[in-house]
Amino acid sequence: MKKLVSLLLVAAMVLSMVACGGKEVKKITSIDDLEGAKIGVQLGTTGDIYASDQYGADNVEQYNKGAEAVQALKQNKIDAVIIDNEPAKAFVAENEGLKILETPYEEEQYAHAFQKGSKLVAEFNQAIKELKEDGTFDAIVAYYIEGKGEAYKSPEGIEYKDKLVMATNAEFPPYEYYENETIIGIDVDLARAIGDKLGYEIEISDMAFDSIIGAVQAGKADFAAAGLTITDDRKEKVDFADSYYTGVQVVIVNE
Amino acid sequence: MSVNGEVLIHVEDLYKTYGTLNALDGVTEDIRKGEVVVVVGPSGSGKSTFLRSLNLLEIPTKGKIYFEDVDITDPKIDIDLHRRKMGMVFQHFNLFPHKTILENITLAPIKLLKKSKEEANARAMQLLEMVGLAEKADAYPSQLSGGQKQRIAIVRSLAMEPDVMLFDEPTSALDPEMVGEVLEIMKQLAKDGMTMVVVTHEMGFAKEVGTRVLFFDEGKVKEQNAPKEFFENPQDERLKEFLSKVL
Amino acid sequence: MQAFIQEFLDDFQRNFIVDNRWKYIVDGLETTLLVTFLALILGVVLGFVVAIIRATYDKTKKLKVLNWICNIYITVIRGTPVVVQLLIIMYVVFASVNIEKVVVAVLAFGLNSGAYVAEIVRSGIMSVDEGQFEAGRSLGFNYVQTMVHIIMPQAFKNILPALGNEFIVLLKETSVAGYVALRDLTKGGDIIRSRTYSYMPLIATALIYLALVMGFSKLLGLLERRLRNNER
Repeated sequence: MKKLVSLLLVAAMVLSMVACGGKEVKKITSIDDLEGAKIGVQLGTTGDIYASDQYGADNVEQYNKGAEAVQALKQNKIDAVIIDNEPAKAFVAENEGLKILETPYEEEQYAHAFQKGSKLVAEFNQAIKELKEDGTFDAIVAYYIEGKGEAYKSPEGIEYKDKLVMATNAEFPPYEYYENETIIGIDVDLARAIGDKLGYEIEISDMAFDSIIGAVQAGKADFAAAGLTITDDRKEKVDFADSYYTGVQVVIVNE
Repeated sequence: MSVNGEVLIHVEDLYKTYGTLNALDGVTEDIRKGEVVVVVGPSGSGKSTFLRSLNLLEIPTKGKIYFEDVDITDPKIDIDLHRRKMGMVFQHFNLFPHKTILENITLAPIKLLKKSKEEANARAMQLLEMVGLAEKADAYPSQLSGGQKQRIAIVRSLAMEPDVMLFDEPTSALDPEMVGEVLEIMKQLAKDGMTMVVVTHEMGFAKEVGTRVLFFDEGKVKEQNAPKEFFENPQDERLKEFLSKVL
Repeated sequence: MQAFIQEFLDDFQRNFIVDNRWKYIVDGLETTLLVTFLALILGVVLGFVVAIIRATYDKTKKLKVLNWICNIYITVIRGTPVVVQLLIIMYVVFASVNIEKVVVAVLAFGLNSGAYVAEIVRSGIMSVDEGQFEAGRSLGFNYVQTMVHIIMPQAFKNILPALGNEFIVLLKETSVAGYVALRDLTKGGDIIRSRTYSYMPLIATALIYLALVMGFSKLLGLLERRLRNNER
């Protein structure tokens, strides 16, 4: 019995030594250094898709959540994280020792996604246009990104004619995230503002990011608002409304 | 059948307590070479505990047991070495169901006595011939009747060439028509000079084969004698009562 | 009908052929099998050791401290979800260590499985009649020899179905390995899905698991029958 136990201990030690000897940390100072580095992304995000194409799938690690990729970066398990600019700012603000590379990795257009042929597309386009013109949209962005002003409030006494289910992944601050057990963020407030204009009550359905398109396609959600970038692949599956925001993919690295 | 042989097992002031119950309450006894000691008594009298203490399947609470002049109750000695020389037969046979009859018999000689497989097999077949079960060598225990199983169990113990055989109610779990075949083997053993300690309810066996009979009651040896005297002229009141019930 | 078939073929093409996407599935399957196999070995070794310690304590009251440690191990492992254990091993235990994710997964699933195997084996040991133990000891076998030659072979046969079931559970449980960004079979399917937004990789993944489990059950049935034949 003792022999067996000591054998196990030895095996565990050898295993951990082999494991530790793995690879050294790569220092990233510019986009060019990303070649051959281990890059963390959130599965199915545009950061994932672009990085996998550019640097090879073997160099990209797909986490279920952006926060987990950032945690892995902090523990030097990976060398960099490619993610949207706004959540990146939130992560860097929360975690010491991280910084965002000055050069953005990629620019992209965020838009709402709908089931193919949905008549909601035109309605949304009109509403977004009006909200941009009357300053509501800017106020929402200013509140969530710069911390100025107030969150969006629905006007009193609205009669809703119907309810719309919004698919999102509430792990993407400041677009959608949990605060005090409710989901808030730019996408949420914008969706409510659109809903108020069109007479729809918005119900949020939080799910894994890579399930969102499927949910819209299958009609389990009426639309998706999740910092969702317009891509050709996605266009084959869903219809997009006009882009409401230009997102920037940035690179987070250890200082 | 020498009754005056040297002492093989010396039991000295043995106690076994379960909580407040005294299963053995101060037993001192000698078992001599060549003796067939039959142990009888009502159930719960401590007779089985006594037998199972002899090879330390039960650890005595107090007292000493010397086997071939070695104190086997001393925790420092290797009891496994001494148990090899003390064969034991159980009420429920306890054959190994996952092994054939031959493997049941040869397992211990091969693993413990380091006998070669051929040697162990040859001896096992010899013993199987003796009990008339040679044709069952490759069968599994589940294919045997109770009487056959018990005969195999006896052979399994004998294969270790023990100096003493301990029998713990060897016929109690058998159908009546199978009791005879097992007792027959035991008689044969006794005739060949094997030292035996037998806990049993078979008074016929005690009379015919026993050299000495012990009456256990309340954890003590209340009376002992040669079989003839024991059965024809009991002294202890409890023994008289016991005999009136079983005879 | 023809349109449906055409659509199916197009979908298939997009999900598995384009960009060599089938490789995600094949590589993932490899990882899943590797993790399952190594975790299985770790779990069985650990499980048997823990079970023997616990059974020894139950029978002889020896190894009190080891038994106590084993109890804590079993309680903690069985009282927490495997995903949480996986994440803890990745982000807490190996927080400052840059460790291969396969090792993390093997440790997590092996440790997890070990606790269940331990209880299965212990119940197997306890299910063997006490008389078997006494018969072994009375012949002169020591405790370990009795365990090895007499108790374990019988216990093993009794627990084989439960053990096989545990292996099947283990194989399926490794599907949460994706939580630490390990590319197992499920994650492989998810990656394709995140590119094609199609249901097809999910179905493919499910079918592969199903085939593995069915094949394994079949093997197990054969083994069980052979062991049983040995006795009759």
